[in-house]
Amino acid sequence: MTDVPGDAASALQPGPLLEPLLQFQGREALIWRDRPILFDELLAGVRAWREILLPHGLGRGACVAFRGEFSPQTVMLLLALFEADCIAVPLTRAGAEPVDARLAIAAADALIDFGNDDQWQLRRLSPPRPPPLLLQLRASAHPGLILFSSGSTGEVKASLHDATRLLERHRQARRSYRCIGFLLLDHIGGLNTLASTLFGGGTLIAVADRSVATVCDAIARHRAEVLPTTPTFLTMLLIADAPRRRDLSSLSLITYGTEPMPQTVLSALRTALPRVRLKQTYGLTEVGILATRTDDAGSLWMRVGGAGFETQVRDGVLWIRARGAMLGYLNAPSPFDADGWLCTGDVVEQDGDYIRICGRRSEVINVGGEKVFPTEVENIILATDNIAEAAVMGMPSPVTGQVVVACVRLVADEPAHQVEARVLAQCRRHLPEFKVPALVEVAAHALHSPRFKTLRKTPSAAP
Amino acid sequence: MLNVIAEIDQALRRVGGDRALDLATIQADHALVDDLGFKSIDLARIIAILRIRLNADPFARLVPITEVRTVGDLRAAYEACLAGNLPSPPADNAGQSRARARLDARQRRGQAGPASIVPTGDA
Repeated sequence: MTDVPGDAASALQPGPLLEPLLQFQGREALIWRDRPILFDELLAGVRAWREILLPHGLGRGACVAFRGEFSPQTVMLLLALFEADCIAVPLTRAGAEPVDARLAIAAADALIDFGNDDQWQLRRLSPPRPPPLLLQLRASAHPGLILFSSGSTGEVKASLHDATRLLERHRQARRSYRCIGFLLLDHIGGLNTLASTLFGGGTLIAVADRSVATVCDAIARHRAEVLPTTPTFLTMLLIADAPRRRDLSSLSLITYGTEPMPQTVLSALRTALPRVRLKQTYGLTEVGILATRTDDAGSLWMRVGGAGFETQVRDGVLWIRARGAMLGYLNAPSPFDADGWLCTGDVVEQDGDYIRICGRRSEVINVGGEKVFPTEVENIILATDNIAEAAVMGMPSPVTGQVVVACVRLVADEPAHQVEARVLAQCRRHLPEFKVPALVEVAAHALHSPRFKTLRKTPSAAP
Repeated sequence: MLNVIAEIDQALRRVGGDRALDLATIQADHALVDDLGFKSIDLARIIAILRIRLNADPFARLVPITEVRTVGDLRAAYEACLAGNLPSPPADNAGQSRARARLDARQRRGQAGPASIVPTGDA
């Protein structure tokens, strides 16, 4: 216990969950807009949030959603919710899905909206009857976490975690790092980064956006040592020649995940940043982030698992059983089999204890780590005039892994360039950028099989 | 006759126009990201369009996309692809076995070892 005098000591005194953070007083916990926030201020902010929440009836068991980016207030609030045994529902504005649907699924009691300057507004909600799983967690008096992810058919699924189990592995002291907060706070990877950084006494460096320029500037200005990111971002980093044109000398570790890494990009990265350790990560919203180990940073073969995880490969697909797995979905059947194993849907090659991720088994299109389901784009296109049929598929892309392309059959003849312009405009009105087709081809033939199954075939090249 | 440069510039303007980027002049030394302002999704779209328009994909296995920094680099990749004069492809490790990966790792570290791949049987 640190030597903190009188009132300051009681003001800072956190509960058992956050007590390990006391040893880091005087250190920087967070950097936001170039302003460092020390652990002292962080813990004081956690206490302040608890005093804000209680008069609003948001005590133990309350389900509190909040929307924003990594910032002093959102981090303080998240920790306060965990400490108060509430259920946290982090949201961002990154997706196009309406927030009300997610609030209803989570049976949220309140939504706290954070603005660009970290100011906030609290709105009490009238939630529907909570799902049984939520009531079960409340009865346990443990803090909870709800994360949203897209299921295999495009519908949003809400994963409910016991936050105590999720945070357990981070509470043991380890080396501290200055780490870029690249992954978002509504993502299991983003929260994993936050927890491992703070409980290690490190510093999370928030970035205003995920452009190469902004991230590289943050690395240089704040001497970031760790960059957790995606293969698509690393591809863009190399295309922008950032290793040569920017000061990345402080980096010692880059971790990558959320989508397969092309070997050419990995090899180019090793050449461009020879002193930086490269580490592949693997995780799922449903089970958390697994420990990984490779023989060599230039290889995509890795062992996955670590304490609390078991893995199996069945018919070429990876299965996982985790002690810290989610309690279940709030709005879908449990994905675990009778013995607690989860099918990841990732096709892998196996060599002894090592695996190499080959890709997703389903038709999901992966654009820079973001999932796109063909049906959701097809539905938008079919609402466009003069479209009889639509088929959406992924085309391989060296930049983003895949890119969305669409094929349509018309009701009546119309110039192809005009059709494409109308369809793209319709998509841009209703979909986030990464879901908008890169191109739209007009087909003369039917786009379904004799069994009326949509045929998703990549458009052919120009003759 | 196919004018590769014109097709590439048209694709750049088509995608740039949708994003209201200033592409009044396109020069070979313009950097795609820093000068023209393209994001990852834009570059992915440009390459998809050119794959259909030119029936060419120089990045499938022969030219690393990470070496394409400027408009000139992009033009050169497609011109070389269509002319059939591509440099030797970099080592394609996409389907590399783990035994080969371990051998390559040992060689990078300068360790002595057999030249052929011998199953070791270890984990």
